[in-house]
Amino acid sequence: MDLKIRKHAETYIIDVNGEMDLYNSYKLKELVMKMLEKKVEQFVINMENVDYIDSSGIGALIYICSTIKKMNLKLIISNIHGSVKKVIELTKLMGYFPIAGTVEEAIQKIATP
Amino acid sequence: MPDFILYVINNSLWAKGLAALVLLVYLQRLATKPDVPVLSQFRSMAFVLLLTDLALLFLPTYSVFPILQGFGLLFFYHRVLAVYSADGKLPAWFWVLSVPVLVVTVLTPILGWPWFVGFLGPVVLLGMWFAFSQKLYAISEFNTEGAGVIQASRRNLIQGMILLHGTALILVPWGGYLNPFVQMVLFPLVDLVHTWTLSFWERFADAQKNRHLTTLEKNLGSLFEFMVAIGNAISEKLEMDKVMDFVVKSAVKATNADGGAIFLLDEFEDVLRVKAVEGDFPPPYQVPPKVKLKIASLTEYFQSTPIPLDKTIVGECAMTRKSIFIHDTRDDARMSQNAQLDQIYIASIILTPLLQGNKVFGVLAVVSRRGNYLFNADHYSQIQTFADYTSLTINSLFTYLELLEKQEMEREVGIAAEIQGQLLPSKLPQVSSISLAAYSLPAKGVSGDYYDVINIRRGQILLAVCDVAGKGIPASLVMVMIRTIIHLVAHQPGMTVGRILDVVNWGIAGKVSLDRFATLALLSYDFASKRLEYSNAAHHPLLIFRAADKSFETLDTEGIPIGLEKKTKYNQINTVLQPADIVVLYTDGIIEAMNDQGSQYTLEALQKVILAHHEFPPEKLKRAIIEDMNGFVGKAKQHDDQTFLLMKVDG
Repeated sequence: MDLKIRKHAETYIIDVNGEMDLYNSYKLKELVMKMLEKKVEQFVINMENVDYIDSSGIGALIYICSTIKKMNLKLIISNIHGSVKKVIELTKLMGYFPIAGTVEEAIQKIATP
Repeated sequence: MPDFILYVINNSLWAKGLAALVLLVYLQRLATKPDVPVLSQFRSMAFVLLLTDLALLFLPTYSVFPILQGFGLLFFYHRVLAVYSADGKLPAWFWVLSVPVLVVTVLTPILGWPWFVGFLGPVVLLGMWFAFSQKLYAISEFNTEGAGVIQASRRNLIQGMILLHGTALILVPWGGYLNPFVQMVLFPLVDLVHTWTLSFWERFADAQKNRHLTTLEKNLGSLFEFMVAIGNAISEKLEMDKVMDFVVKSAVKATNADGGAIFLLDEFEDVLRVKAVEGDFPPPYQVPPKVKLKIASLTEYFQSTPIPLDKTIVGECAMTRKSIFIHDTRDDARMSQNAQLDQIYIASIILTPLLQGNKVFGVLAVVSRRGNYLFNADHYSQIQTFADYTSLTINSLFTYLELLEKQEMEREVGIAAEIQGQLLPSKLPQVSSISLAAYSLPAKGVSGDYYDVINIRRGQILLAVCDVAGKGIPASLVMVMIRTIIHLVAHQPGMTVGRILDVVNWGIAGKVSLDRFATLALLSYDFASKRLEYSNAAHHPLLIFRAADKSFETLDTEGIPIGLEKKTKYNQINTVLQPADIVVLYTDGIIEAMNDQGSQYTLEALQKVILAHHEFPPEKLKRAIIEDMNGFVGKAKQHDDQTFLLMKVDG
């Protein structure tokens, strides 16, 4: 898994590339925690290039999501598709995660409170 | 005696011949030396002197030889200077002037041009030597390495040359270069001046070579020390901070600097932060006037202020990925404030990027705060070698850390596997009216799956299948917690599967890290009433094979995974089973088992095997399922645990 950060106005977009599994999901968690320390307030996690996720990956997303919710900050997960979507549906978490179809949509959602 | 020999003996040029002899000896000495660029220039110069001198000895009336010698020497002096300083290059007008002057000089006796054409040679040569002396006098220890030798010798050289060509100019009406006084006194004199200058410069070339060697040795020495220090740091404890400290300390020591610092790039804010400081390192940029006054606040300001990539020389160094060497801050506009203010005074600074692959991750810098101690090219190359090695070390350290982490994880997984082995029921309960079978295969040594079969009370049994996110000890502990709670509460009167899930969730949520969530499915079955109750926390739906019409049915309830929200309530769904009905609880690993073409086993395939072998007792059906699934998967490696539980109502 490979993580890249870009910035759109005040929103930081994290592009996740590759598989999210037991051996690397912690990286995303660590990165977001680091960004929170640096007072980043608006996040988009772009899952466009993630084709596989295991329960550790879902765990990382849950952790990130709930931490950000607790701090009253904004997060949207975008481009969930394929088997990743299936796993999230199966675990009945579609309602739990704030989701958008595309990064643009996510940015718009964050911008309009 | 032939006239020719008499002419040579009586010639006024005998002194010149002696000078040539000195040159010859000098040349001989040079020939024994190794081939160094500067020395080969010296050799060429000595050759020019010797050849033109000899030519003049035998053909004394051709003034073209002294002029040719003049140009030839100038040519090689330029080339020697070019070895030391970028300004030494031969100017383009050298050829524009020298070639026509030579042509005119050669043609003058033939075409019978007037005597004053003879002025041309000395005038041009005198002009060229003036221009060259400008270059020699522009050299200082600040812009040229080893300027001392040139500074010590340039006066004699220039004076000698001006004396020669100036006198020749004055004496043009009396023969110019061919005047006996010039030939007898001046030429031998300047030949000696050249020889002296050359041997003077040569000594320096030798010394420089030796100095370069000792610098290399010193460099290697400090690198070696550094490697040992890093090695110790690694064996003690792998700490990046410690390594950074070592790097700065060693860099300062190796260059005898007053201070050194490492700035690390903040990955997503595009700023550099001070990471490690050694000695006295003032901010190498303009600071706000308020901060400047007090040393304490200055230090605090420097340590706490991030440097944007597009600002200051530190940012410039990281952004351009190029080293910056400012020999003297007075000569550089970027350092104007540092050159003037005492509190932040920096005399000389070297900055070099630290690279991981071709990505910058930081900047290493050393400063001198002594006006009389300026860094030179040796220090510069030393710091660069150093940064190279640092980058390499830090790269391998990163890799090593990653490897360690992975190893640690694997070790942990081993311990977890042991814990887990004790969690699963070693034997399924033997009860009348139903038969059971269970299968569980961990993917990578340890499972995130857990299943259980519990006799709740007489005539009632509880089946559980659970999948905990992640692996290793934390996941195993979550499993232990879930198992403990289930075992504790399942016997309580009035407990239903939905209630049990509520309690398990209430007990787990907030106690464990959120990314250790679990999916859990519970079913209870009452033998007498054949009533089945099912409740599901985001696990796979329950699969029921109805023997009566050989059909499949799925049961599911709403509910998010265990451990996310304390207040979650789980509901349950009921059904009544008939004899020979089969109930299947399974994890992802079963229906998502993958073959090497990347296709999945699927629920449909599972149903097909069950349908085909539904008359088997569960233990036999289990083997049929495993066989069918393994047949589909082939040799493909599985990356998810596979678990299923079968329960068949006796018919």
